[in-house]
Amino acid sequence: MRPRFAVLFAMMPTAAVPVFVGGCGSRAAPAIVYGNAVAEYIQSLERRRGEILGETSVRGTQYTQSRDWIESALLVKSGTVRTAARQSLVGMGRVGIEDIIQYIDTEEIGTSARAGAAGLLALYKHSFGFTLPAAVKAAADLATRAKEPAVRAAAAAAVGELGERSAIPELTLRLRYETSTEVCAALAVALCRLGALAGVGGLRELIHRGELEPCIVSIKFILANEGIAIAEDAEMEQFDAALAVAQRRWFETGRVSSEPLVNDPSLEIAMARVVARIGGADLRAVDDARFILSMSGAAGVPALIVALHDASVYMRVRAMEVLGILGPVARAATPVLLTMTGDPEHPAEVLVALGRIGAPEARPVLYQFADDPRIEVRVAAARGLAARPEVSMAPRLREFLTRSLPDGAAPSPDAALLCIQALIMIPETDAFAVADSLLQMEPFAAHADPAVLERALDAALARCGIADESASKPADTNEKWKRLRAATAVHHKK
Amino acid sequence: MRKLLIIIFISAGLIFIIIGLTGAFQSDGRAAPNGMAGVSSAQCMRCHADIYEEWKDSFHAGAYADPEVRKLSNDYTNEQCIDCHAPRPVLETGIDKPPLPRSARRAEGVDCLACHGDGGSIATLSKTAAGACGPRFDARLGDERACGTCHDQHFTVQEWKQTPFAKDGIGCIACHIPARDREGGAKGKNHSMPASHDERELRKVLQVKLEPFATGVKIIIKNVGAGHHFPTDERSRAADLILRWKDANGAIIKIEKVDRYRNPYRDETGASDGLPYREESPLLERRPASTLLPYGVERTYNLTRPDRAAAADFIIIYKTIPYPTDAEKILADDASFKDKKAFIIFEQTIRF
Repeated sequence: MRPRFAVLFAMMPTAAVPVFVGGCGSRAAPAIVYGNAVAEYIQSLERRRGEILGETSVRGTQYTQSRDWIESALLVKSGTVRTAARQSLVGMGRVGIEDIIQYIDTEEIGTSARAGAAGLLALYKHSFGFTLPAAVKAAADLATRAKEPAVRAAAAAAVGELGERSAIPELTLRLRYETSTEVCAALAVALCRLGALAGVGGLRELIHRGELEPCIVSIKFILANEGIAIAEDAEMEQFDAALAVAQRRWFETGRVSSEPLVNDPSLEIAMARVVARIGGADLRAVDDARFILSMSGAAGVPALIVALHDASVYMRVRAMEVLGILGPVARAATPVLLTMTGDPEHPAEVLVALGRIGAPEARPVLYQFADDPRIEVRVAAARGLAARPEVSMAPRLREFLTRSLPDGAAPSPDAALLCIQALIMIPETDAFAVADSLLQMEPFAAHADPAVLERALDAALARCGIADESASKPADTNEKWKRLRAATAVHHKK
Repeated sequence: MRKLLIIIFISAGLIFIIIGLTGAFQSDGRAAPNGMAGVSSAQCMRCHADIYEEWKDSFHAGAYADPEVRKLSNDYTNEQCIDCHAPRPVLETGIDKPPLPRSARRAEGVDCLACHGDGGSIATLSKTAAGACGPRFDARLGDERACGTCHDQHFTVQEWKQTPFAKDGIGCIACHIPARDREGGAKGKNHSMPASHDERELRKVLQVKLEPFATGVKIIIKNVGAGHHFPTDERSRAADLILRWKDANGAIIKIEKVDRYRNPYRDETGASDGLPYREESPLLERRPASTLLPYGVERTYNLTRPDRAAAADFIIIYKTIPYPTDAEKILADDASFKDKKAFIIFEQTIRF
């Protein structure tokens, strides 16, 4: 957008024209002739112009005929005039907002002007009580793609003020990759205002990085909304702990305050779009979508349940995967998943998801499939059982370690290790007895899932009271076996 | 007494398991009854011992258990890594989609079935193959998209598509699973899959011309041997071109880090050692720009000879270790070369 002064004069309110034309006919020349006096005069005119613009802002849409004039004022030197012009455009309604969006894209303007304009996108809601889709889209785009951190931060704040929940997935993803602390704080606060779980996580991350100050007011606001008391002189750790409580609640309910998130159509549509991406061909997009969903807690569950009915096996499997990642919060998916256990297209994935969600009604099914002749299914059932073990499961887990395999079934060290790992994680079991079982698996360690083995060893060592002696250089697997052997030997001697 | 009973109970039970496991891993190799779902690569070994031997030392076999991968994935707490490092058969999940993770036998990494499995049967590129596993010809196995399910996540297949090899129909298999004569004159394919950990292959990739002039030297480097960018992949692979300027007595007077060929990972934002690969790209993709060398592309450097320099060592180090460390440190550390984490793929001295 270029200044269009000819139009500007033509459109100007009558009272202002004589003064203004006189001064602006040749702005550079008088400055040379009259020196400082003229420069001061021009400045006074610009202040006057600011006042006029301010007036148009107050009067709102009746001044839409001045639009071009105001547009041109966006690019003058005076910051006061520019600010007034931007505000007056907001006052003009839809067309004004469109001008602001165009103005943000103007190459000539600096970062602060762009950031200021981005912030104004939310002002429309305050003036008119509703949001414009164009403003929402522009603010969300700027918050996630603007080059300058200050613009991203201002736009993120605007999205938060606009209350547009369809932007939650994009903001969540931006927060994942954002490197500027200023923007992280703005994104986290905006997400919190939108009721998105990722915002609380973002605020906690900032606390861990020692960046509490930029968002202290927002944190206090969230905690007050959640009814979580925090002392006036609270330390960083107390803020973190209080936010952790809020985070758990948000994860489980998908709600902020009394407002139900999951019934917000804009959020549901946004989440459905994210879920559609988990079935895509680009693993990055799949990963990003998984991240957003795992950061959304209960809010993403309805869309994922819908995806369980998708015609594509691939989509169904991905949905199961994410539901499993969400864990108990996805319990609403259990009945649907239970109907899918017999499906030969995803016999393993459904069991892992059920186990990770951990609903008690799924356990008999997991026990049943833990005896399946198919190794994939048996290991998946064991993975499911090991995901959320509890004391009532201990007898069955022991049984799986001692039973004969179904006829023709290929044995799996992974299934055995997962059962042992589950037993170790149940505090009521005899740690050394389970450690003995684990030690008997040592000859088969080379064939086992190394990640499962490592976790089982770590859990066994911890249960047997053997701390890792050098935290800076963790023990290798052989060393862990050695320590476990030594510990159990000492225990049995006693 | 109760504890003792539990121990005896569990120990007795484990005897069953041990018997079973020993059977499976040492001799028996019973197949699961439902299709090929439970078949381990060790079971394929019974008929394909030579192929198994090649595969078991390959980076496909070590894809899941590799210590670097485990470290980077936080021991697979980052579950998305499992998709490619222990995949379900890609012919089952679709060659136009990323793979799905396998639940069992993950320690086998990219196992035989990952490429050859398809429901209840075995896919092969041989039209005459026959055997107990019921092999059947499936052209998809030779389709670069099958490799691309995993390898295109870091754009390798897309890079290949820009080369003349793609137009000529020379795909991944031509270089990475090349033909091999087997015992008895049979024709086969090399399943050790020579690639980025094979020094001999790496040395074929670059054409390096050194043209000294009065005040310096001109270096021209061209990718003539890789059917994709050099190196391909993100993050893990990198090559550094360095110069050691020496005086008349052979003492090093200056080490010049000329360039790094690398495509940083999408979440990388910080320079690790000041090498000139960092260029912020705009907007959301705010990360260091890729400096990979596409096939057929030439890169030229004009370097000024420092005072007193009488000779220069030109070295290109190829690194498979994730996150680049200083090339000089690698040169000083024999372990990197012994562990095949780094290779010197070009070395030449010029005297002025």
